[in-house]
Amino acid sequence: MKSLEDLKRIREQAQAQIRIRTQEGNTKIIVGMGTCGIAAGARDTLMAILDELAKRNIQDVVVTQTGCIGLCEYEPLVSVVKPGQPKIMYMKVNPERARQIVASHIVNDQIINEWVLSREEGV
Amino acid sequence: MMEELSLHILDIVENSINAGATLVKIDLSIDKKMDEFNLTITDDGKGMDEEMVKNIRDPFFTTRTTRRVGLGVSFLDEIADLTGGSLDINSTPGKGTVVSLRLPFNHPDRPPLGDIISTLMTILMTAQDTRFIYRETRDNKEWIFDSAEVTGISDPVFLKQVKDMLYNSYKEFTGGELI
Repeated sequence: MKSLEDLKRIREQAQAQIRIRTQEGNTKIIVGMGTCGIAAGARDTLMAILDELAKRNIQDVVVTQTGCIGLCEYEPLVSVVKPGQPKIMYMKVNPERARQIVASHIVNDQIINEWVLSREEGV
Repeated sequence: MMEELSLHILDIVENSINAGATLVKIDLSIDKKMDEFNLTITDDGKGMDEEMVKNIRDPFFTTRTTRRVGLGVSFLDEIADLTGGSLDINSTPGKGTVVSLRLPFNHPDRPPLGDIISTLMTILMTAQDTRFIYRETRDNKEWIFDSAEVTGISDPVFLKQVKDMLYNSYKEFTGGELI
């Protein structure tokens, strides 16, 4: 790939930024990536989350995946875990919902109750 | 049913990751003149025994306990059937699995490749401990992405830059041609 040098440079910059960041727990976003999630559109949901986080210059959120948890009919499923708060699982998260979850829940701490499938205390 | 082959690639690689693979090689080789569209995914995961390989095409077979139907591989098998292509799965317990899908390039029922960069980004973001190498050849031209070049950083701002860079580089390779 021709822009390998560029990638390395950006990577070093990112690593430097990570070092200065404080050690407090990061917010986590978990996207269901089983066959059911993928078939329901989880890849585009994940890409929308990435885009929205980057657009808002949010660097301390970790996006990760989980497999099928048996709630296939509610996929794409997206969970948000903020340090010290209950784990919130959102259902049928299309790219549009994903963007709103970033804006409302990640940025402004406002849970969007209408789309919540479950809440789990103490995770 | 998934509409893009790139979604099937994502699905198969997720299986590799769940099988504990540390290295996944995705090879897509396209030769229009020879009417070939060949996909091979090789992993070094825990592999499957003979019994499981035999069952894996069956939509009502799954190892998961969360639901009673598996779907991923049976979808691919159906595409192979529909187009007169083939799907071969070779696996050795403890060594890994090779999934080979051969489809006729020009068959109208061959699904389009779709958004492969989103698939690569999804793998990169969700499986940070698995190295993967994507290699695509189209009529003698080659494009390679090795996740080792960018792995280990979860910063969304950085990942978005990687994504944009991959899009541009891949577009240069394909000349914007959708297959």
